[in-house]
Amino acid sequence: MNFFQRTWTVLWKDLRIEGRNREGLNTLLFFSAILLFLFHFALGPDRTQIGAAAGGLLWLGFILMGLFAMARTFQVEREEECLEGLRLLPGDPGAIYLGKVLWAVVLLGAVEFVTFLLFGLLFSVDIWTRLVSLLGVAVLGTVGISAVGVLFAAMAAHLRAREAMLPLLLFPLLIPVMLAAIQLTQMILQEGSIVGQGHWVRLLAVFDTVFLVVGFLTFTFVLEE
Amino acid sequence: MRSSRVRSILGIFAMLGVTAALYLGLIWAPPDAYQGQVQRIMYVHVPAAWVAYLAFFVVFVCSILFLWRGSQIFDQVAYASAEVGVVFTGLAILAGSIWGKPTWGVWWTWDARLTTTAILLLVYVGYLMLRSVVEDRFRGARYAAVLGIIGFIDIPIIHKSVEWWRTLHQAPSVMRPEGSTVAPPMLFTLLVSVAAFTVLYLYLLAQRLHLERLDAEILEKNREA
Amino acid sequence: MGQWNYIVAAYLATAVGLTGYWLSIKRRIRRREDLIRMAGRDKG
Repeated sequence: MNFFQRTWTVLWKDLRIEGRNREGLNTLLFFSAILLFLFHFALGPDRTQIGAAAGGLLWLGFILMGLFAMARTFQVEREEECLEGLRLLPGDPGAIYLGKVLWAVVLLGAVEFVTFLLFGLLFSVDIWTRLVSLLGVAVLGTVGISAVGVLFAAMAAHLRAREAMLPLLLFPLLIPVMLAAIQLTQMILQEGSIVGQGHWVRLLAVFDTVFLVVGFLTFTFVLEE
Repeated sequence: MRSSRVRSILGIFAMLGVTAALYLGLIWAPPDAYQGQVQRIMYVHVPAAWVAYLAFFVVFVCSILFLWRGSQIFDQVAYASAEVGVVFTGLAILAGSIWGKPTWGVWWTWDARLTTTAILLLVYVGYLMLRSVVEDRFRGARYAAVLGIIGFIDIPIIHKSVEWWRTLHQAPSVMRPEGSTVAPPMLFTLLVSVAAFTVLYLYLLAQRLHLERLDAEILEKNREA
Repeated sequence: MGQWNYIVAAYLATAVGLTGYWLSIKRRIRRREDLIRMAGRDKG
């Protein structure tokens, strides 16, 4: 089995497991709906208030969902005691890492897509014309969150205080992703385009690339017994 | 040379350096043309921040070496340097805050450098927490090494993103904290202070490393027993 | 000169912080060394 086949195997395995009971997906979708209601209650019916804060609110939600998804990436293995099985998979552990990152991006991406639609619906914002750019930014941001998140999720899978540690460790590291994603999303929602914000896109691209590489190289040390 | 001899010598030089820096900073150096006397706090804040970055760079290098080579000494230096680094980061923030009150009128402002330093503190406090939470010493070392690498690489990215974010929401601050360091006596004082703090860092690092090695010795003895 | 209050506060806080940290290292070292010495005595 070559590298890409191994990566795909990991991804496909997780997709099928999730497909069976959809526990993670359902929880995240439910969470996203609650979040949108919270936005409304927190900011009141004033549309300009929400308009000004939309980018920040959405990404606050996305990072919280991301943290939950990260904790979940290795949860199945931990519950079924198959962490050992992952480790015994022949070949490059980097394939496991990439498979998990792709899995996280797919899962979160699906939820983000639905969240955008719901947001447009509940707050009477025209989402459809901007959906592609919004999703583009969302994917860039989610790749960043996942690249770092999967690495630490693998660590947390072995710790007892796991759930508590993950957000504490991840959030400071992910601040650049948050700032970039918030700013870009805000611009898209308000102006419809990201003219003049190219540097933020470059920042996301650099972040994603750098940490995918670092994660890929160091994952083997996290997986070791 | 025995390690206690090295540490004593470092300690003496550290004390000499700090005394010299104190005299220069508090008495010899002239007050700043714009900020007045308060600028003297920069002779504490800037060196502390410099040492913090140095300490985390040491953590970064030792983390890589530890993962690559596996020698325990790299892990020990990394842990020691991280702890010392956190102390200096805290002091840098404290001194910066005290400088900020008479200068800007507030104890805290979300200016790019202060914010980045605060994030730095969060990241490496997380490092120390990760260390203390993981029971298996060898696993903890590996996890911390990964964090030590990721954290340091993230620093310039965090700084850039916070800087851009700041200029979006407020005009860049006019005053540079160092003041008019063009003036030779001020530059000289600053350099001496930085040198003094660096020697102090080396001394504290040596002491903290000694502590780490004692811990390792105890662990070894427990294992033999 | 209100300014000197701040200067003293900053320098003092730094001195206290560094000294406190140094003392904490010393204290922890002493505890470890005592432990090792006692362990040696027990075995011997």
